[in-house]
Amino acid sequence: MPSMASFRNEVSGVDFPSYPSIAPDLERTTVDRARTGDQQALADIYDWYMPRVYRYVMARVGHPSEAEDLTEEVFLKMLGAISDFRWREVPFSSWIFRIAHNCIATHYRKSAQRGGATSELSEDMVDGRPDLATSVEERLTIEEVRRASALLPEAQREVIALRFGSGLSIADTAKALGKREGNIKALQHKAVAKLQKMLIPATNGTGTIREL
Amino acid sequence: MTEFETRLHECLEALSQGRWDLDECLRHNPEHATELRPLLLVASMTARAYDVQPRAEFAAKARERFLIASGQRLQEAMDIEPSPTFFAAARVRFLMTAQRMKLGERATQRAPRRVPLFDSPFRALAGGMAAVVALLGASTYTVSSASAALPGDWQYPIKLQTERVRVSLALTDDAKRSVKLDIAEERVSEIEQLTKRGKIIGPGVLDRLVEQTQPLIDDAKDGGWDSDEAARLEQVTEKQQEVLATTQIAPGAQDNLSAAVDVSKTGQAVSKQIIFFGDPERLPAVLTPSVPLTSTSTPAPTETATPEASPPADTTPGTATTPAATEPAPSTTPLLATTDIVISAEPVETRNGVKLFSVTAGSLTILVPSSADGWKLDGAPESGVPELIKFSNQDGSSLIIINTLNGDMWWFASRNGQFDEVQMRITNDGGTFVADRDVLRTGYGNASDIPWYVMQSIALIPPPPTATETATPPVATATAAP
Repeated sequence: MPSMASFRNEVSGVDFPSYPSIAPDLERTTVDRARTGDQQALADIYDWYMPRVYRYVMARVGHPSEAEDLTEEVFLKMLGAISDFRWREVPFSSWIFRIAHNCIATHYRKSAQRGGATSELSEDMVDGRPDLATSVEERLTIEEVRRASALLPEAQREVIALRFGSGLSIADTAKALGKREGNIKALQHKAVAKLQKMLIPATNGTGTIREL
Repeated sequence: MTEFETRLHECLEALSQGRWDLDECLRHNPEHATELRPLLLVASMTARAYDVQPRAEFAAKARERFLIASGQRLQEAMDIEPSPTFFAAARVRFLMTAQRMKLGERATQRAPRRVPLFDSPFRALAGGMAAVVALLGASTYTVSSASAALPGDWQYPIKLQTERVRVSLALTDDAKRSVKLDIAEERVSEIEQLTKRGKIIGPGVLDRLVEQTQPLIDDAKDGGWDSDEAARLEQVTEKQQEVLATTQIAPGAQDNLSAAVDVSKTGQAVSKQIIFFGDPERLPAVLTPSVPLTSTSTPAPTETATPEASPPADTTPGTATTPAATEPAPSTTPLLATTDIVISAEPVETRNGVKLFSVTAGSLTILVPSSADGWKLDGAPESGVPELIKFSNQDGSSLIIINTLNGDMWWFASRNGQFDEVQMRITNDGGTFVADRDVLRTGYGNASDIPWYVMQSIALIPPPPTATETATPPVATATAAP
């Protein structure tokens, strides 16, 4: 296990990944065109959201192949529902992640009915940052974070998947999950605090990452 | 919420929106820095851990499947083909499976296929069909019939929709063009098949042919087409005219037929332009089949030197050059010693009503029209033979320039308010090249007739061997002087 010091060194310079943002006006006109069946608009929406949805799904299920299937399902569901989308209800991003949330819920329900095991995090995930694989040490810590987050309670995990995986704001996360913002903040706080306890236990400064 | 929690969320929001980095978060909250730091670190780490990307292969395939499904949804939304649920479901299966047969990849491939255009319609789909049928197995839904569907069949809308999907799956302009050409081929093939079955062609079918062809023509006019693509368009439009000439059309569809024929002809002309002239944006260079230049350096002491520069291959002996050769020949020989331009007093030949006069300039003899037909010799010096002689017509729409030394000829032709520089005849190491008659006709119509006559008549009398020897010293001094 890497030492606390090395962990700090690795992550201290690390910022949040950037989430490409779409100008609200453009998103609005594109979504409106898509609602009328404009294929190019649908393709644009797909291109904008697919990576984010995939990250969210991946953060939830952990398995690339499952994440791929579910991501695809999210967009097919989106196709079927987009003509019913109404701006006054939720932002589009919240709406699409609500679909994702529902797909995953259904997926877990079915897999529980089949008696399937909860998915485990896979080693063969493709990291978004190409330089990651070059550092075994860093890679290890990333894996640890993944494992740790997989141990979070479902509600917390979901919040940080949307917040940190897909870059949704607190407000949009709340709308996607149909919860109040205060609720989301509390879940986020709990999740981060719990992760901190798991990954950086309060030791005298020489602590190691806890075995999980 | 405690003040610390408020700060934490503020920092997390700022981090995720990229407004602050970790250090800035801590700087803004010095009193909570110690507590905040590990939490923010963990949050950053988590965000990084989640920053995974789908496999490229999955991303590409899933995108295609999504687009196919979206096309399907669109079709249902438009209610093009009201159909039982079974067919709707089967159609999705079909489209999805067709996609798995790498329909999209086929569409993006640029497959130059020019010869067997019409014997295998809708080929891009056909490849996958057997497999699709096998996959669907005992399903009563025979997908292969969709690609072979003709206007009026219930599967025809599916075929049209599949085509639209193919276009949207093609990523590059080239690929889109190729798919659109496929589709245009398919439209004409459909009319051909309907005609063979003795069906009456309705206005809708004709309109669809126009709708499919016109955008291709517009695109071709915009430039960027290569000659292979133009050749495909040319074949399609040629085929269209052939097919349209034999179709039986519905009463009242006469205008639609005329429109289709017009578009077809335009398409053929435009594609020919591209094939021969290259990019329409560029100045055309009309150099086609080579007429190898026979050696001019061999001494030709005989008086009848005219056959030296052989006329273009398609000129039958005894037409243009023969009269010019026989008549002015006796007088040209002495002219070699002089430096003046000599024009025959009488026309030496009449072609298509145009009287052609013989002009001798140095070693060059040509036939040119006179002022009787609106032509004049421009800027000829009082005496001596310039390197270039120029003829133009009165309305200024044509200017012919000929190099008296080597017989190279350019024609500046007015077209669409601009002058095209048409290389009519040029000699280089590879021989002598002359403009193609058909190409000229296609591009410029009858206006190309006179330049063509002139070009055909170009004959060069090689300088006598003695002349070259005596000419050498002056050349040497001339180059030494500056």
